[in-house]
Amino acid sequence: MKNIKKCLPALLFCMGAALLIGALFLIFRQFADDRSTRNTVRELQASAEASPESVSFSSTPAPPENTRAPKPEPSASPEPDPAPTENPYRDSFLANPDMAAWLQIPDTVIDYPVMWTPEDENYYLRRGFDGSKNQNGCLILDTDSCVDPLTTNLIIHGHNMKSGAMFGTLKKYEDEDFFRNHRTVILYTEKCMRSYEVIAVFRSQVYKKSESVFKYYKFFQADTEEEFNDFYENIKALSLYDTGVTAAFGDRFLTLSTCSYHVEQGRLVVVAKEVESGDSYLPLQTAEDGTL
Amino acid sequence: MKKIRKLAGVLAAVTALVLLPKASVLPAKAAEPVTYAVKYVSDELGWRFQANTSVFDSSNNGREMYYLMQDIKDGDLVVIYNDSDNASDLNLGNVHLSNVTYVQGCHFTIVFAGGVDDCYVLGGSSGTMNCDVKNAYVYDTVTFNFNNNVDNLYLYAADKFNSNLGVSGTVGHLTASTLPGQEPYRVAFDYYDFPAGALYFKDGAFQPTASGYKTPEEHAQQSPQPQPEAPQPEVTQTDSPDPSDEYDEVPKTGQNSLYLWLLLGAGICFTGSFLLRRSEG
Repeated sequence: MKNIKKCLPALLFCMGAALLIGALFLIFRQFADDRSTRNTVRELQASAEASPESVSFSSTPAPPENTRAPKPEPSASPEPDPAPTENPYRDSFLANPDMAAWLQIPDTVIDYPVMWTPEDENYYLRRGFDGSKNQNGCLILDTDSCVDPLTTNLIIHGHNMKSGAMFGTLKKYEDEDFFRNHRTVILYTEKCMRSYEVIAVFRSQVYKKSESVFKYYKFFQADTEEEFNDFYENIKALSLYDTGVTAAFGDRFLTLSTCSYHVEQGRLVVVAKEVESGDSYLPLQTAEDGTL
Repeated sequence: MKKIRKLAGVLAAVTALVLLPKASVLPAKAAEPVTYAVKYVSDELGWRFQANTSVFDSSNNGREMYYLMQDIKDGDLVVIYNDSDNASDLNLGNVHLSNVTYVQGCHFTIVFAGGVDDCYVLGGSSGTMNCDVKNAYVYDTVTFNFNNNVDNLYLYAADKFNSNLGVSGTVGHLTASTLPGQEPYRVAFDYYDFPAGALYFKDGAFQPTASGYKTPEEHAQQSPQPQPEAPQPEVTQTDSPDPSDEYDEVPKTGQNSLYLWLLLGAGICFTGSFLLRRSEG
């Protein structure tokens, strides 16, 4: 009994040391993953910025509060579509065919590639752009969403990282002032640039299969006006504040989803409505011998 | 020394609770049954509800059903109002309700639920109930069908039965009588053990679609036997969890906080070790 009493402090100390080593290992690994993500994304961004056709929205001023941009008056002779330009993210698309798009929210750190792997939705959940293990993972386009042909709703999932990486800063949208200054979301797909305006921000959760409730993550395609209205009315009702943005059957949405801790299986959701299609891009082409 | 032992015991318990997050969660006990008044609101083209009341206040439209679906639980009560002929189905999920009432004059309403203890169908109502019912009470003239089994079916009318009523499942006991307390009290029908789909009333006339039901005498003479049941989905006993209790498959996008728990555990271990050493010294 005495031996046990003598050994107990040492035993506790060893346990504490083991736990501390484990914690330090995890922290170190997270730092390494953060650095790896930053470096990879910077390289890809640099490649896009170097593109002669690159478009930067970082200096785009936010629209004044409660004002909407006037719609252009229809003209008698519609202007011809601008000629296709080279995709600024051409190199990234060619570097990894799993990349479905590039997501950018101007003046935020959200400026990442979006991966799409229909055969395994979670493949990039804990993998970097190059496929190596990485706790930050990548942004994931839901397997039921599709950019070509475009579904009514594109759902993008991303980790809510404490470092702010991926969708770690998405929770800032719970603040209405943040929304007013960051209402635009840009999605660069292989074929064109799509511009969205945030229409609703709300908290939700992943529900059980048996539960008959509104599940934002089940809406991808609206074939009827009723389906569209069901989604639209629900997101507007759930929204934390009135964005002043409305939608009608035929509009398309982009839904950004990340974990939230207000309930078990909680999610924070930012839904944006497509407002315009920007540049259309030239096909991604490689030289005949396959070199880029 | 006793103090140190106590302290070490408390530290050990805290460590266990910290390292086993699930153990630190105390499940809440089931809440009291809640009464919901639900109504089909034509202007909204959907069902709306109001909680903690059996009367739907038409001065406001109530809340949308998905809020109810988040809160409704076994044992709750639902009172149904519907004055529209175009109401959509009322799906109350898989909960087992203690009471479902179709109010007087309720227009045709199709209800789905996991089960009902007491179902009241008041005069002038019409609709269907799609789950097993323990006790069904049907008043005056209705147009109604129970699509699953009913243990006890009580029909009440002041004078004459005019209902169109059917049960697609089995019925354990049928009683048709004047209203309780009414004088003179008369019983028109008293039968037992209807096979699935056998019980049917057309304009109040008893028109069994199959033989096999029993009089009270036959029922009393018969030794208990397993009852035939309406076709039910086969349930196999396995150790795997009920798929309906699983969460939808959505990518898990939370950050692993294991390192925080490890740091906390390490801190507690170091503190415990330090205190034990000091007490020995």
